[in-house]
Amino acid sequence: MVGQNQKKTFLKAMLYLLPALVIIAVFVVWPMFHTLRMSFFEKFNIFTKTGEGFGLSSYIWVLEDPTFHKALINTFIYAVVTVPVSIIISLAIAILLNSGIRGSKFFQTAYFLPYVTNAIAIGLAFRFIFHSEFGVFNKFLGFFGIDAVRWLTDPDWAMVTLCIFGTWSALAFKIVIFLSGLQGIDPQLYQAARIDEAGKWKMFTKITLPQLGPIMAYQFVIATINAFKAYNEVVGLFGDDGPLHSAITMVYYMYDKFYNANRYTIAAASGVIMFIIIMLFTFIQLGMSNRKADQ
Amino acid sequence: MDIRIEGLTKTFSSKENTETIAVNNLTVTIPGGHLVGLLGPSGCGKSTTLFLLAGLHEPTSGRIYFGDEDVTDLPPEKRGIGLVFQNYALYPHMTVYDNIAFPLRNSKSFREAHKDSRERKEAIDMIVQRTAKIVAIEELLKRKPSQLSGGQQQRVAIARAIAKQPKVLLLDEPLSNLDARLRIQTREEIRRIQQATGITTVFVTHDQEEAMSITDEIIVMKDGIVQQVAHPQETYIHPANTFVAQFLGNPPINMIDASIRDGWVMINSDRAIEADLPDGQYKVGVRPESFILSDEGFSALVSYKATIGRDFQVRFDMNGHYSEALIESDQQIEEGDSVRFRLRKSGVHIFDNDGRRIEKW
Amino acid sequence: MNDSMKIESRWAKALVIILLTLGAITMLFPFFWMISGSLKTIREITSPEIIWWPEEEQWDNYTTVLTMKTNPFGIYFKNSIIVAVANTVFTLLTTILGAFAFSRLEFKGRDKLFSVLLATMMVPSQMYIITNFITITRMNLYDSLWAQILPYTASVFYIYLLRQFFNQIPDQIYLAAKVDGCSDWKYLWKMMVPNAKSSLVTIGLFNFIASWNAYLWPLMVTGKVEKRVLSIGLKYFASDSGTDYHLMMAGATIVILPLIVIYLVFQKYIIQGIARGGLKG
Repeated sequence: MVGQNQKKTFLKAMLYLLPALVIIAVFVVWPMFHTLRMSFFEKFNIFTKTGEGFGLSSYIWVLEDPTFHKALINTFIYAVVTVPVSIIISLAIAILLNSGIRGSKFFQTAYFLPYVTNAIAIGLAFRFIFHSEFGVFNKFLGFFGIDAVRWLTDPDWAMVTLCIFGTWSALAFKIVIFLSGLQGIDPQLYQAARIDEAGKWKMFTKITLPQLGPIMAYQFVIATINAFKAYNEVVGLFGDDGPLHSAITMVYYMYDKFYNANRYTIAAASGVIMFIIIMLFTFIQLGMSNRKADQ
Repeated sequence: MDIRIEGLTKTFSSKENTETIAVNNLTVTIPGGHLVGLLGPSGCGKSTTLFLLAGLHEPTSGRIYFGDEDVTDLPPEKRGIGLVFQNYALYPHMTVYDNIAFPLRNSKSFREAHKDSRERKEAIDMIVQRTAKIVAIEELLKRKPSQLSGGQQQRVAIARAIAKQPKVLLLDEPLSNLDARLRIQTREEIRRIQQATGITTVFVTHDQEEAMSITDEIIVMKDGIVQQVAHPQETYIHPANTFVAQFLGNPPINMIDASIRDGWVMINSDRAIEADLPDGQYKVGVRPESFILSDEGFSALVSYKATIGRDFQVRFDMNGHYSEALIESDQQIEEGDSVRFRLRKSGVHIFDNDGRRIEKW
Repeated sequence: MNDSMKIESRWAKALVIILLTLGAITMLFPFFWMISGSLKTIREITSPEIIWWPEEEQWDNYTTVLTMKTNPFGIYFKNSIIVAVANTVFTLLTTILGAFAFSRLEFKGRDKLFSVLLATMMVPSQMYIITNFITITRMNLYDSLWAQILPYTASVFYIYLLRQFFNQIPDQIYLAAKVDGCSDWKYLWKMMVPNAKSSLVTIGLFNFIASWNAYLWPLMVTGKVEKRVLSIGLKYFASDSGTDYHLMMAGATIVILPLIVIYLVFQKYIIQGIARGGLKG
């Protein structure tokens, strides 16, 4: 009787889960294994689903490809620049928004807005702003006597432009998280600090920062993972991977190898490498914050 | 309609493959139309018993009969029960009206009895209004549960439970979330509603005072086993065993190891009270209010005295145990006094070594 | 607001407001410049001077963009709506059913299955699209709106979020409903869903926005012009149109305006969603 009931509940649960499980199995779980398998072939026919030359040749090819090196370096630069810069700026803005000035509702609306925007469309707006001839940014710099920069067409400047755009795009989400974190700090901590005659800076370093610790770690991980996956920002800004591929990123590389070059196994291998890098990074980061928590 | 429970057992198996017996071979008959209290400490299986009656748990073995009908295998909605939960479990997004109407709208038999949708709506409205009147919440029908006080939520929960005119009303610790004053008021309200509707009602509580004050009969449980089934007063005057004696009564009964010699219970080597039992070791329980200051009886040294209302609470040594007595405050007694006590027979219970009461007075 | 974080001095207050205003300008300027550009003539837009606002608003730019032969934004818009709405409806459905099973039904292996699903969240979605492209092609769905809808109709993350919410609904409500003759199915739709309304609105909004902004996947599975969604159309349009920045800005505005409207209407839900669920940036 009980056994039968268990079976019945199981079947019932499966009925409820069926739609979600089918979709997730076909479009998430299966692709993980299939992409992994594909990456170990030298050549793969996507119609017959057969491959030849099983081994690490695709990985070797990717790791020796100068374009991949370029993509890897660019992705790292992008992450190393945009993550800390956007975290610092957004923390500063969140603190200002939380300082109890009037009209902070209006400011919040303004600062959060970029969260919902389409990277391709706003990228176009930035393309227009950064245009070397009639872009408003160069005109603005001209007021200060700074010469026009070919933001979008000079390979030496492409990564700079991408990082500016990337930082701008990443702010809104972080401000929201920081602001809610700040609002969650127990006011009694500040009252206690005040009784102890702590100054504003001291309050910031001794209360605000430590209290935001877990949120900071979370922001750091999420932001870095997102930076590693940068793609829409690149296409939005340049339309492709920048002048002379100067702004190519890992995802762009993968997409390009798959879709334009039809090198399926290369694309799969680069995808797996990207996954490994992200995993490694996440574990290192988690390990670090755990050790910190232990102390 | 009587509720007959026969050999009801419920075991829960946990992940570590250990089995706990929540209800152990329970056999009891609850007479129809009565308000019965299921009383016991937490974890004694009283709520499990209630949920078994409700059909929310499936028994491991045993049968449950409502009248002549075996309901053991029926799902809750087919048993004709109303259930009131400890935290009321009102549907938060529905108004009070919709909460009360919900069981009616769901009931197949009700839908069949009122096929026409307009007629059904009117029937529901009539019942909701009538029920609301019984529990005195007519003016709250349009509110949401979050806008009600604890006592009001409690009434709504009862209204919802009795709206479909159940054969059995089950209440799971219905007063534990109310403050002291409201609790007394509400328990009388429950008594009134039960008498007005005449529904056989089972009321789970761990609070003896609650159970004593409103029930027709008490079932005392411990570790899944019934200890005593009796009229509330009876469980106090004639506790079946040491557990019942200790569980009921406040302050609690004094329980000491004493011997009987030559027909006398010996306390502090003195003869305390006559008992027509063979010589030997016994457990003797003495209610705190059954000590009488006297020139004879057993001697004791008062170690502590406090005034509680119109009584003195007095502590002294009795066969190596500290015991407490309530003495009327017109008596002269001080800390450090050496005194003698007689015992009032009605407040003294003698138990054998298995804990069963054996004295017969 | 933390009282103790408040700034009292007038000068400090003024400084904060100035800083916040400068920041807000930086955040909003691209939007303003896009809209202003979308209303300019080609001459105004390529002018060496800074023209903050066109002398006469060129609303025709929008008509032009919406009815273009090569890049019919009208069709793109319609496709985007269909894909985002269908996606959201299906996702909500699978999420509600899945979250219910994981939160309410006690079936064997539930916790294990759930952890396996959670583990899949660690894999970047970019990794699956290679295989998904192959799958979709083999299902003969290449160049269809279904190709853009189907793979994103279930989300472990949303199931996780909703399950959290469902778990907060006390067990006793479930038992009470059972006594009142409510089946599991009815309980889900009459009790859990109405109570989870705000969570569902948030999930729906995030899903809609994500679908509206999706780029890489729709790009891979569409070839024909008439199956493109806005993001893709905009990209093609931008590479086709050279320096017609006034038209490009009109196109970009068409893509972004609905998002701004949604944001302004549902700001509360969106902010709460990010703050509570830590929805991905």
